[in-house]
Amino acid sequence: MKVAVVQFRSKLGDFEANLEKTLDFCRRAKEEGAVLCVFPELNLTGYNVWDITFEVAVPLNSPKLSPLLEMSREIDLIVGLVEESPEHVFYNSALYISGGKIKHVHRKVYLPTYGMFDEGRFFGAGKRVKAFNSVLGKSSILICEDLWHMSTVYLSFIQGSGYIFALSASPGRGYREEGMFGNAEVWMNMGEFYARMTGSYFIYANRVGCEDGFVFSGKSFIASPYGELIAEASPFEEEILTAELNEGLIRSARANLPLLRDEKPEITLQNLRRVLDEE
Amino acid sequence: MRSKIERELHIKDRAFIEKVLTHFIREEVTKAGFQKVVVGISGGVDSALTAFLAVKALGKENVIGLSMPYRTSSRSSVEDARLVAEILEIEFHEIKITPQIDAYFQLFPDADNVRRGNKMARERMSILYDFAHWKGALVIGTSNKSELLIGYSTRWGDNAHDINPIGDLYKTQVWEMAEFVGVPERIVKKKPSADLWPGQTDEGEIGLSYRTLDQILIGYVDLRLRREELVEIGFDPVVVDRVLTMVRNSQYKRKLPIICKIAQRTVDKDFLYLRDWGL
Repeated sequence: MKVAVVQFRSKLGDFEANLEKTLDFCRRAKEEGAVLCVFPELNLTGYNVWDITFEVAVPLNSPKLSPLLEMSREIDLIVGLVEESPEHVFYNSALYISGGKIKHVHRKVYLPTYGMFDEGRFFGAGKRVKAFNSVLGKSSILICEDLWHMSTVYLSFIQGSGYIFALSASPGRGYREEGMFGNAEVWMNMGEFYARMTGSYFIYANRVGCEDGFVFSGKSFIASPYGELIAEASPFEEEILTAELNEGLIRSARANLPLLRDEKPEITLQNLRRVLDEE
Repeated sequence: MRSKIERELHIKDRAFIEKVLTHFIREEVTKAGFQKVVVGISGGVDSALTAFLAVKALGKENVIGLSMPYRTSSRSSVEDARLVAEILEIEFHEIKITPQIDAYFQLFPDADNVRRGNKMARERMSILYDFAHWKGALVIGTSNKSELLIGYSTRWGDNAHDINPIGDLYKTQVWEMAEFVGVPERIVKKKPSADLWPGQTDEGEIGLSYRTLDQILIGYVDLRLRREELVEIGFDPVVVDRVLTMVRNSQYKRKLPIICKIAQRTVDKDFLYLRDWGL
């Protein structure tokens, strides 16, 4: 099945403009034969929303989301936005939308609040990493900083996800690599490594464009369950990246390297309990 | 650690960084609704690099160069400014600031070099902004990271501009990039000078070489090393202290005016929006 990753340039704080463009990309992805269209973190709002958080947040029952629900009758999609909970907590969330319904919500668990990042000031932190069934098969969505914590990937793995959707808005930094920012290379290394170690497809959707001199690092990619890059986008351009994903390759990778079969989560759990108790 | 510092200063893929900087210029200028920039060209390497990048980003028809010599400005500065404009084939104006500066200082014949130099820097800023309004352009800045960090600039003078593509490049990196983009060798190789009075050189005034300055700065700022660690790896403690003092004492130059808070939300404190809000 063909999946489309959209390397997106958001207009900061302009939900309607970003929504229009998101729908356009979905139509293009559909024309290219994709069954699922994946967008980066906070693509509907822009990344450095700061105090705009409270102006662009939408409850999940908001009519503002109707065009996306309608679109999902044509093609499944994963989008990023600021979710306002019924209790008025604001989350950096990603939605999986399919067949006219929101089928899954991932709230970003790890909110970077250091250096140039200030997410913890504005967002509440999610508490769950839960696998769900996408059109491709058992899947997990993780958002940016989530993936810098191995535990979230482990949780996806142990639930049997064969498709890890990694949504990010990663500002470029580091000039010690070739043809890309240093952080883009780290993402690729991470994607190849995680894909291989989990026997999963790793689908990385990153932003492009600038927000006040933060230049998002692009280089979205898809890594196969063997840890090989099968599609790779440019560092700067807004574009659609597509690839044919094959469940059989997950089977093949896991037959050759049965890490999921041999995994012992109860040992992890016992040891975690012991470590926490000893503290 | 010393070798890490030296490595850290080196830009590995200068073609890539050139693309980052030109993408930044193009996107930040056009999404703000402009096509053109004005740049003050002094004959030095910082403004030459900036002008080269601006032309690559926006095309020569969208870059306006201004040389604004005072009667004591060195002839080579004036000639090198012309040379940059000739190579780039940009609209170029040479505007002598001697009459207005001298008219003012007739009131204060005993004014020292710093007062005179500051006045010149602010006069140039004022002309750049007049041109910006006249030509429908943004002012593109030419302050490098070394001078920003030690405050080697005139407040609201050369440090006042709309966007700055080279403000995250240390001086030694400006040299690397300038050579790469094709700035004439005699501009890259000449002794840096603010040219505010005859015989002035940056390194003479700052009291150490840019190479040493940049190593201490990248250690302190980018690698977050402490004073003691910088001394341990071989930097002269007197020099380290001088650099760190310059950084601390010039913080006010890097900030907008501070506002006394009395209300719930205050413009400079907790009214947090990027400048690119809605762009």
